Amino acid sequence: MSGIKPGLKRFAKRNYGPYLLLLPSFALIAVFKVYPILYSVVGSFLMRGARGAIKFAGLKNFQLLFADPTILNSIWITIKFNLITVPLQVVLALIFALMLNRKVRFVQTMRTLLYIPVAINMIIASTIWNMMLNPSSGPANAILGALGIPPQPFLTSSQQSLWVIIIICCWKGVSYWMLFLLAGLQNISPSIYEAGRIDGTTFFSELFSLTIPMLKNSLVFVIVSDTMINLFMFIPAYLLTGGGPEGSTDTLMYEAYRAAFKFSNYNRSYAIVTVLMLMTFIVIGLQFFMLRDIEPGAPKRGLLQRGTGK
Amino acid sequence: MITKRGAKEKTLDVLYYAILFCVVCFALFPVLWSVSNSFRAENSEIFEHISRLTLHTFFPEKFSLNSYRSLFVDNGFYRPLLNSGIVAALTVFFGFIVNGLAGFAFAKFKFKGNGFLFSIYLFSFMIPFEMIAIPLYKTAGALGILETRLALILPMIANGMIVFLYRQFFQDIPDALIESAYIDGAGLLRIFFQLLVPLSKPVIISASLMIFIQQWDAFLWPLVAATNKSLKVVQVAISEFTGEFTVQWGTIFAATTIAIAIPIGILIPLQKYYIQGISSTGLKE
Repeated sequence: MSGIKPGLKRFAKRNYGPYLLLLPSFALIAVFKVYPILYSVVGSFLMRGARGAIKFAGLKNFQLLFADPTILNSIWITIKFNLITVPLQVVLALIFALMLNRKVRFVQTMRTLLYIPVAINMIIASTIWNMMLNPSSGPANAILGALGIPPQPFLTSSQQSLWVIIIICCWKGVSYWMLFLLAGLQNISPSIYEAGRIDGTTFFSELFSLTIPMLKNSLVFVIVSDTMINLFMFIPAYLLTGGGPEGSTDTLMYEAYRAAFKFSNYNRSYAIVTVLMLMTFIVIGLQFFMLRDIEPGAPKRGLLQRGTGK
Repeated sequence: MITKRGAKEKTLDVLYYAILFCVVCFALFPVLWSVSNSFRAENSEIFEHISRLTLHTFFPEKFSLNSYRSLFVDNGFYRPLLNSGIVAALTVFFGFIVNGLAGFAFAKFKFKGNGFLFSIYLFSFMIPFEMIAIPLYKTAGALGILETRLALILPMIANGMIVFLYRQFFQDIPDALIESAYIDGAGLLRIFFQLLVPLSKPVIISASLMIFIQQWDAFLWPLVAATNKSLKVVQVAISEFTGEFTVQWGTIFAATTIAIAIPIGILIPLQKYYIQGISSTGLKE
């Protein structure tokens, strides 16, 4: 925190001033962000008893969840989906960011073209891919056919459906995460590489001992944010598969949605969301633990990017 | 030796562009395919050219606006467009004031609870919206705002990420400037609107773009909070086309083309600001 100049200290003496400035945003965040989270945590311990009376149920909701094969399957699908999607997206985003972080011809054009999927949201992405992968009338099978590959069932097969959703998520997500990594790469001063080159580094030693440690802030941000988004993945299951075939794409968030808005069983839904929250904390804790050893050898430039805008 | 090295580099260059070219094709193909299909005259034309791969599998034989006519005339797509536009515009406007004021407070004042409050704001932007959607439905119900535009706008105005952006930017504005205005007797609101705002065009543009995109893309919340036909937003309208067999593919292509063209039309000219906004939040931790 940069110290406040003497003048401003006096300025802040009417110390209700900053609180008034914060009031509107704080009220909105409290009502629409913090309260709902607490509400669902508390709600996951409540139950609707006989005649609709709400009563404390202890861990009953969670016991019911973990005895339910549908939910156990959903937990497994959610974990499997994340274990594949997050590393795939991050590695691809890093590769493309490295490729586009060069000063060669057409790079700026390629970057702009690759930003286009960023402006397309999950609904549109799912809608378009759904038509492309339509087994009988989509162009995907037509292209495969031209290459001599037999037509594939794609979303209609329990073997392929989750993979199709992973591909859609990568198509949409990789260029978004690449934006962050590219911004991080452009913050690394070229002089660091020059010093390394005099010592005679190879491409891979440069990547792992210089680039990745220098990129740590952006990488951690991308990995954590990407995990959170994918743990709560909902749209493809809702729009394309309804969780099927045979529960192969039935993510936890989709089950939470169904519990609340199809079966009006809100307490079950809160319990699912609370399980998801716990999973999120565990995964992110693990990620921080595993990433702690990557030391940014350099300057804390990434930290609160100050002074560059001047 | 020199020629050999040159040859190796040339191969690498060719490989580099070849890979990037494939990636760009993969990224753009679905978009171009659906845009080009939206201009076909007949729906059946889409399927006709699937069995045998020709140029017409990807490009229409004759350019036509039939699908757009059907989208607007038969499916009333102007309504969701208007609804999304209104919701996004109002959120951008109120988001600018509410988050800007908070950014001002965090950037320029030292006050009790500063750090704690700021961590609540940061936490609120880290959590994915899906985490709160279901309990938020109950909250909005208790406030009696379900099935109104207010339900779509109000929860999305305050945004920790946008507060963070404003704070970053305002920190770089010299304290002396604010002090002198204060000594001249200007109130906090006047300082904000007459001094900070005119200096902050770049951050206002990036923050507004981010809120706009967030509202334009909103799906789960409008799906549950505004089921009324007159409130339907673009993404919900498009999602309904997918399930309905009465809606022709051509109409869906036209709808997705419009839903893509609007944010891209806004983002591409302003991409510098959008990327600035994104990168200063991404470098935070």
